[in-house]
Amino acid sequence: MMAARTTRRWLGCIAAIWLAMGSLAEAADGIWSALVLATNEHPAKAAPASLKPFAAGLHNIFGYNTYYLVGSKDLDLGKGSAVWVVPSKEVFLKLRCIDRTPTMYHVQIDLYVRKQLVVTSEVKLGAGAPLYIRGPAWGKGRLVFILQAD
Amino acid sequence: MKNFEERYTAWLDGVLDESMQEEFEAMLDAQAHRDAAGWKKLRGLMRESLGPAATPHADFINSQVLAEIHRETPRPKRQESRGIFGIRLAWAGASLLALAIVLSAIILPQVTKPPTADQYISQVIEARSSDPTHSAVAFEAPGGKGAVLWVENAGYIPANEKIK
Repeated sequence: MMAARTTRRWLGCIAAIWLAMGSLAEAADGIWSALVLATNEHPAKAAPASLKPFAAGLHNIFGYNTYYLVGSKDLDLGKGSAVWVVPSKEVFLKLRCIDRTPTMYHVQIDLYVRKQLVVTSEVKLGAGAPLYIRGPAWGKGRLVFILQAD
Repeated sequence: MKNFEERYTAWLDGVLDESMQEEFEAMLDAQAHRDAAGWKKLRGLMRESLGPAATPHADFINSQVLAEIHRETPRPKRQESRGIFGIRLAWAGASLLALAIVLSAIILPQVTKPPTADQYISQVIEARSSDPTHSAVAFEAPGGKGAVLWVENAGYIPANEKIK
């Protein structure tokens, strides 16, 4: 009986180590998503703090001088799971995780505008490397999605 | 034997050697000899009349006593099995430790494997649209790490519509 108990304890320890290592191997902090409204204003307004790291990139790519954060969300995506990113009723995304490593997400992205599927894309998101998605025009500005794996 | 009582008792029991016995008897008077004779006679009578009593069911009692002794005596075989148990426990522990080391050797390199540079780059692998009015192109973002998915004709939302 004592031997069985000791064996169970050992197996429990090994299982715990295995699970801890497994979770460590699969560990990733998630994906940060944001919907940005890009406009030209005179004078230009400074980007909010959460967009500061992307301000130069946004300006170089899209050419607007002012950026507003419409909404942002941290996504926790497991392999095979899917999430909806709905910062607006007019434009939203569906993300499905095809695969993930500690530093990269392989995802399928569906862009919906006015509840219609506009484009489907397959993307590899490296940690710290943002993906910019040019969305629909809004007034004189443009809606842009930013996705970045943390 | 130092005192008289000890020597007297030994003399009555007949355990004095011959020389001491003669020496001691020389010290005794006639009354002491008569007392000793009376004592010896009484002891003989007691030994004859007070023999060991016969125990009824002696075999049964003996078997019960032996069984109790057997129960209370530690069994060498059990000690041996404890020894084997200890060896088995040690082997089980060593085996599990070896298994843990092997698993660690398999898993840890995967955990600690340094990521390659392309794992810190975002790439658009594919972009498609079922509607021919929409199109998408992908290119590298300035800085070389990020990526841009440039969707043409993604639609227009009038400024008077709230986007949130």
